[in-house]
Amino acid sequence: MEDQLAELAAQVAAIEAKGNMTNTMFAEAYYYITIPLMIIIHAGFLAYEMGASRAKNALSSGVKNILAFAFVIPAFYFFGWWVYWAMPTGLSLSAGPNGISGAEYAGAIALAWGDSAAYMGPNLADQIDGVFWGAFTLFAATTASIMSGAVIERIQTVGFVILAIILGGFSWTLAAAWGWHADGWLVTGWGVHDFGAAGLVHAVAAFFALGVLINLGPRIGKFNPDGTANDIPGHNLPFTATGLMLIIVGFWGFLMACLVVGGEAWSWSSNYTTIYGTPTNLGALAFNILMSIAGGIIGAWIMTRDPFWMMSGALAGIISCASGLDIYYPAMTLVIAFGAGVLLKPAANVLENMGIDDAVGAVTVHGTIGIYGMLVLGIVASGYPAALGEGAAVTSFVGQLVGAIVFIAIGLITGYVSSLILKMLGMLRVPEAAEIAGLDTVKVPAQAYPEGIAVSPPASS
Amino acid sequence: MGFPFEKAEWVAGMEAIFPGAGGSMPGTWALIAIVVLIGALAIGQMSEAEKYRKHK
Repeated sequence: MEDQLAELAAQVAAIEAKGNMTNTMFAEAYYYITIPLMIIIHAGFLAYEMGASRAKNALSSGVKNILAFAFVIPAFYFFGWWVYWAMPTGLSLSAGPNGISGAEYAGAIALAWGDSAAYMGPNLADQIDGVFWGAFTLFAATTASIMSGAVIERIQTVGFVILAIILGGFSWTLAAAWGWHADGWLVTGWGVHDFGAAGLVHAVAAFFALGVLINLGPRIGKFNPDGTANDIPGHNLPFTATGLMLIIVGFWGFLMACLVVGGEAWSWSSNYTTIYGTPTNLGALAFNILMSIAGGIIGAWIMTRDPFWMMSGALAGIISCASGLDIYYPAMTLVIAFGAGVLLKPAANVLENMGIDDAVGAVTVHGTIGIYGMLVLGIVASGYPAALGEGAAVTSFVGQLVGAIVFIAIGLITGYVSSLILKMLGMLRVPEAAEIAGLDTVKVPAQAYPEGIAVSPPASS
Repeated sequence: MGFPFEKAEWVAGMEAIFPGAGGSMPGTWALIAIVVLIGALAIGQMSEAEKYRKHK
């Protein structure tokens, strides 16, 4: 009998070990898959911005996107990841209540040298850090791409890359540490809830872009002497609309990566949770993302009838609901997103009337709508627990407002100061002659359309 | 640089498996990579500035 019990216990232990390993491999594969899904966002931004540029600037706009992607990855590897883990409690670099933050913790897991290098490279005992870092790196690259569209057709390439490194490696990471981490002071102190990063990715990137735009100035010909604005249409609206659709596809990966998979030593629970440890699942995302896309498109259609703004409305719909995609009711999501779609074009007009030339409406889509989404959540989800555990702060309008102000400040200040320094160094704006000639002619050793854009006659029947 | 394993097996307890793991090499490679990145930006900036000069 004892032998049989021992054999049974061994079999149970073996099954448990296999189950644990399956869960670990699932968690690893889960985050791994989000990485190529998020790269689709970058394919989308590439198409979107090249299409939104005039033909004379199409390739130089694309080069900018490609380089932002390439430089933000190592920037996040070498210091962005450390910022995220070191700074949740503020600039003191002290440890937070969950013991997963502070300079000592970050130094142990997030530096590419010393003992922590073991967690920043292939490691058989660590099946999460690589894929988790990869997903966060794509969040970082996305912030840089959000800024990228606003500044097309007149920014210098290397100056832009430096701005992308600052935004992707530091600015948004600081916001994430403060408002998207269980030890973040905005979470523990103010109950900030921003599940899908409407504020800490979208608004931070948009207000960073606004800070840059103030120093960069408008494209030649955008504004008349009396201050009225001219429309500068891109050369390929179908390409732009397709790019926007690709961005929307990629955002499924982005939002998927916002969940914490359950059942692992680093998990908050045996099932899915948000990054704050609060309960949710993929079903919540499926309901709410689709309804937010629908609401955003319909709202923008009502206001504009313009396919560019309708597709931007889809993106705005997702962003407007991103803070609460984990808990919203789908019909509520549709209404919130509809509001974002309606708000979109008038908000863009306000910015333009202020003399800001945001070539693709990035500040409006990601900034105005991101803040709108954060504040709406403060109203409709007031009282929800913001984090795991007894006595955790609860979500409130005041908390969301404080979070929004902090995110705006992080983006605007770092974007304005860094672009001002580049401007003083002569590294921000291209010379007037180059802008008029077209940036492809000046600095890209390739042609977008070497044979022109041919029109084929229809085949005879 | 030092290799953490010589036999292609998944051994329980084995951790980092890249060349130089546990030593100073990761830091050296990190430094070289950062120098390459900064150098690439510097070269890119010089090239870009030269192209703008030609189009004045």
